[in-house]
Amino acid sequence: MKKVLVLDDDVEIHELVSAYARGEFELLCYSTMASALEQLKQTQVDLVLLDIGLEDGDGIRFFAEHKDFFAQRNCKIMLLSAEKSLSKKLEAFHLGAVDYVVKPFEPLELMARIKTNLKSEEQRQEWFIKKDIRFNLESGTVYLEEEDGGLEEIQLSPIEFKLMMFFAKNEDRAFTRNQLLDKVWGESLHVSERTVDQHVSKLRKKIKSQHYEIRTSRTLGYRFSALR
Amino acid sequence: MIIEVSSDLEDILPKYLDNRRKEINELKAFCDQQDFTSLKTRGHRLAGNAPSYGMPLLGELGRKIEQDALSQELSNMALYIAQMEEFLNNVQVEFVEEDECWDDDL
Repeated sequence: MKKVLVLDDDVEIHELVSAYARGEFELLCYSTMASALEQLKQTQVDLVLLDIGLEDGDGIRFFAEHKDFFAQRNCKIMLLSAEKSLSKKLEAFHLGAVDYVVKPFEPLELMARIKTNLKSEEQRQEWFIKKDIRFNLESGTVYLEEEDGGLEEIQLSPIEFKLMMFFAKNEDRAFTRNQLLDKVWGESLHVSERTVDQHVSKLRKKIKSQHYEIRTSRTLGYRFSALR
Repeated sequence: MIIEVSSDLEDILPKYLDNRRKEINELKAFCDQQDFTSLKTRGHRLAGNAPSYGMPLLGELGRKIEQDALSQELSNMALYIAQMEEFLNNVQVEFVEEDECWDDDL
């Protein structure tokens, strides 16, 4: 479960965010920068909801001083403040904040913003396109662009979709059958290498791209490459 | 006075209102002591949290307390605190589903 740390010296804000979080993410609430930093060093937190006017200092300065610390931990910063001046907002975004919410806020809107910001870039992206092969990431569907510009939906099983996405995201890289089993099926599943061959064979039959193919490398396994 | 508040706040609103009632005496004491720093902090927090709890009127009083504390102006402070006390003594909360109580003025 994703972790969100609220750094605000108003405990009523802690209560409010907790009431709305409804177990959708784990919440850690702190009132001072010192105590929050102590926690941040021990726990991987995905997003910090940061107030500016804190009892023990300025939240923006805290962010600026620990910018590298947050970046190294892939921890996003969302400002939550009564300070609504454009210069403060620009300063926050310049430092790399993903969002800035002005108090008073509508709790449901704040929750929606937190949830959106917690999603990875890949999760936010709806389409992944490799020339004539189009992956709809939301529906898990693959479309093949036809010569007239129309789209043909290709019926793929979830594991075929995952395998095709993996190939498409790793163009020109060869993978052994065992590597594909690990990366696509996951280490916990015990399936034979032959399963990979069967799925690749199905993908070749279903997806007749004008630009790409899945090649077999005798020594290494499979590779997704542009047609020669 | 009846106000409509989101049912999402049903569990935490009684404690929030109790805390505000306790705060009345603290605010009066800060006025007596001319403690503008504490008045500013409390007013600032009230302005920031009360509208999110469905109480924009309290938020507005918080904003006035903060502003007057910033300019070290005490003349209207007792009035703001009295208005806050009156609101807290008379408020009746009706919990409703969120889409019924969306406050466009927030």
